[in-house]
Amino acid sequence: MNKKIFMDLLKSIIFFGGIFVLFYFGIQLLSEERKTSWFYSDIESQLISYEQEIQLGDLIAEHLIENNKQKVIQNKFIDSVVWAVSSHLQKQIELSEYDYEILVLDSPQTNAFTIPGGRIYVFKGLLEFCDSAEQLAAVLAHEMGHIEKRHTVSKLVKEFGIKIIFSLLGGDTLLLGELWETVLSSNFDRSQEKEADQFALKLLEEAQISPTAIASFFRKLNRENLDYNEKMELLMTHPHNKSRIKSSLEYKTQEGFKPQLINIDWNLVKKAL
Amino acid sequence: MSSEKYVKLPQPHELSEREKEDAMGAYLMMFAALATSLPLPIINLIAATVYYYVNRKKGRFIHFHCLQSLLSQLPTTIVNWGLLYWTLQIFFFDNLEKNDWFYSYLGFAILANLIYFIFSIIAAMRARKGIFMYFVFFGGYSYHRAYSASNRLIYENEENQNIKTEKLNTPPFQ
Repeated sequence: MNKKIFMDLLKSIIFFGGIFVLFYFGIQLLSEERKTSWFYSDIESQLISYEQEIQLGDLIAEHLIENNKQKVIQNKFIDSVVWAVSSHLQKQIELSEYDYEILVLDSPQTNAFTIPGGRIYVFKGLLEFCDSAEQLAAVLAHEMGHIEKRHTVSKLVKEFGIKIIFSLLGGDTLLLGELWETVLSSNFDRSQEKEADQFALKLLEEAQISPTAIASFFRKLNRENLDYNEKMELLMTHPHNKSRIKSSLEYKTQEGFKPQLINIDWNLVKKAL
Repeated sequence: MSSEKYVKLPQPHELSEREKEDAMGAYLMMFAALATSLPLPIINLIAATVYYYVNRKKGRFIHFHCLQSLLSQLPTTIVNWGLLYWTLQIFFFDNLEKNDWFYSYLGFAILANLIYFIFSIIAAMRARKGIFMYFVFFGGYSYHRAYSASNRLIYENEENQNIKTEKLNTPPFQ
């Protein structure tokens, strides 16, 4: 057969390979802001303003209290500990649209979750599970990542659609129960989890807390999980723990970074629970 | 240059209307199959294979176009399979994530499909007029398969030429 045919094949492979490489480098040349707005942003979250998100968060929080779905622990010592840890982190978030509120729920689950508008709920079981304030800081930093990146509101818009969210904001509270269930039960997708992890690592570093706190938390979770199935809950909703431990240990802090311990005796916290 | 011999190419006026229509059908049928098989890009390949085996003996011109149509959709089908797999992994199985490589591949796949569509439409129009259009590599290979003198396939429109003219009937006396 004519050699020209095979030369044609070679040329077309080079041509299309070149197009693929051009696409890749073209995307690389785009600025981070453009890339984020074109490819990586959650369009859903852009449909709702920060004010509307905060209003939605208030509605969900009210529903939580009114229907007594979850009991918030009223303990000044615990509140002050959680406030101290969270404010340590919040100081490092520049230009946040949210006034964070961290509440502890009286439940043995090893979990934490966020609702729109800057509220983070931590279960009592998670505080008992943590070994240090740094581990709690790691969890809170991750949840703050979900809030700052607007994953929470994006998840709700995806699940319910923008019309239902707007009707809720307009006073139709019939679906609040279902909304609440969604907040509790459905997961963020893997890319959102990774984004929140990256946010948490950076935030911990800026707050002078060792980013390896994430690794130590997940190592403990892995160890405990071997014996206690109920710990699976947190595992199931997040990416592979091993990869998270790895990324936490491999995270490169800036030169001269010296982690500082948060001055809280965690044994006292456990006793107070 | 190759020393291989090839059969003389027919000119448009030498081809029957039926041949031209069947040749055009090789491209158009594939479009319909592609549309029905979305998002599973496999039916088009099956349809093109069936069309090829059913029609290839009708004539060299049809054989050439059926083969070119079948082969030229292989790369785009593979690219589409890759895209489908990647997309499912991201959005349904949550095993992979959207990154720059994915978007590059997406752009590449869109462009590859677009090029393929445009060239196939042009090829179909030209086939209807009885004109050859050679795709890069696939055109040359299909020409070789259909018009090579060593091609042993017996075509329906050439059957009469291949019958040996044995003198079976002879007069009773000379």
